[in-house]
Amino acid sequence: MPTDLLLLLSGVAAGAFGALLGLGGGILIVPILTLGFGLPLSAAVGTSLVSVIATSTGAAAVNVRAGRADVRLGLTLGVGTVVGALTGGLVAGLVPERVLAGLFAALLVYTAVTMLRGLRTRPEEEATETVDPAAPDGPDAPRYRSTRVPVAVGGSFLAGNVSGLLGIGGGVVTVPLVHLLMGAPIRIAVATSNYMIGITAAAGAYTYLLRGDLDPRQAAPMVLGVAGGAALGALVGTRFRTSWLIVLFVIVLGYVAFEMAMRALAPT
Amino acid sequence: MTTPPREPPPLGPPIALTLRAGTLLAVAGLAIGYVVELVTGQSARGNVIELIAGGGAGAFIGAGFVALTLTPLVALGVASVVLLRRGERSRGLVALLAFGLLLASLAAGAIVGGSS
Repeated sequence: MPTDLLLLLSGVAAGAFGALLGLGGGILIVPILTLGFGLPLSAAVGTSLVSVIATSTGAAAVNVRAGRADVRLGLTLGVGTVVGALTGGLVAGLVPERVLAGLFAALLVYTAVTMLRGLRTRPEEEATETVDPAAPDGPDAPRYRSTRVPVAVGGSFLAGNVSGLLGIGGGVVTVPLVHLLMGAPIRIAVATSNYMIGITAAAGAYTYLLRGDLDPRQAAPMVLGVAGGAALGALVGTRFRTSWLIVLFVIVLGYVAFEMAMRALAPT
Repeated sequence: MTTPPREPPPLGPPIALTLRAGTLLAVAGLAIGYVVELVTGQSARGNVIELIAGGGAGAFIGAGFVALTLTPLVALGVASVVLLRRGERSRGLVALLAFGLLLASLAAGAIVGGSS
């Protein structure tokens, strides 16, 4: 029972952080489960993928209705992420745990650096950008035009691969892809990525769930916590200064990256 | 007298409704299963299929996981149908392709799960 409560609370924290920063939360869930609860990496990745679906579906329901997510773009890139996640999920079962831990440490460092760079070059005038899903070609059409679609589909394959392999939603790859490469405003990029990560995570989750890598009973408190935390994060998000959250998040990422790297380099 | 052209069905609301319904169903299943387990004291273990087949608290938890993981798949199906009904043929086919690929992931998961 205390373990369930701790899993629930950890899920709330990961879900809230994820919602506040536009991520699925997987980047925190995998280290929490492996380093904090001693779960094998494959079980942690499977649990994380299912939790990411919960974060995504809950938030995307709001974002899609509000016209913040570009559904058509998400569907196009979703083709690449699904293929990537499927191959990543299948390959993950063959990759040694130390290699996965090393890859995860590298991903954490990349995420931390990306977030710190974003902190310095934060766009300010994009809060009112929306996409009207009912009128893609009408007067309310998005004021941007997606560019470099074929390259982005290739990039989304990479995002899906990282997702299936490491149990994250892939938002750390898709947000920069949609924003920087395709030219979508940051809020639309975040909302579109949020819609996509549920599709991506599902493609990887099926393999883990049906292969028996994750124990549904053990994962249930984490998933419930993440769903609750994501709702909480979305509710209180506007009351926090994002810059402070990012700094705090980067410190956490740095520590977790160090622990994961130690795990990868530890003598057998 | 000519009838005015019919408005194309909106894309966002049906997808949003599907996502919301799936999330609520999943969270309800997991929460009910957890409460039933607390009340009865029976802890079920096993994969999703074993949990559902076993009945009791585990069946609710298993059903919650099934609802959660199938929600993106159903939402993709809804998106492809709505886009095709709107006359956006190429976008609809892209959505259908994504739906088919996700379905293939499910089949691959079942094959890998069955063989391990």
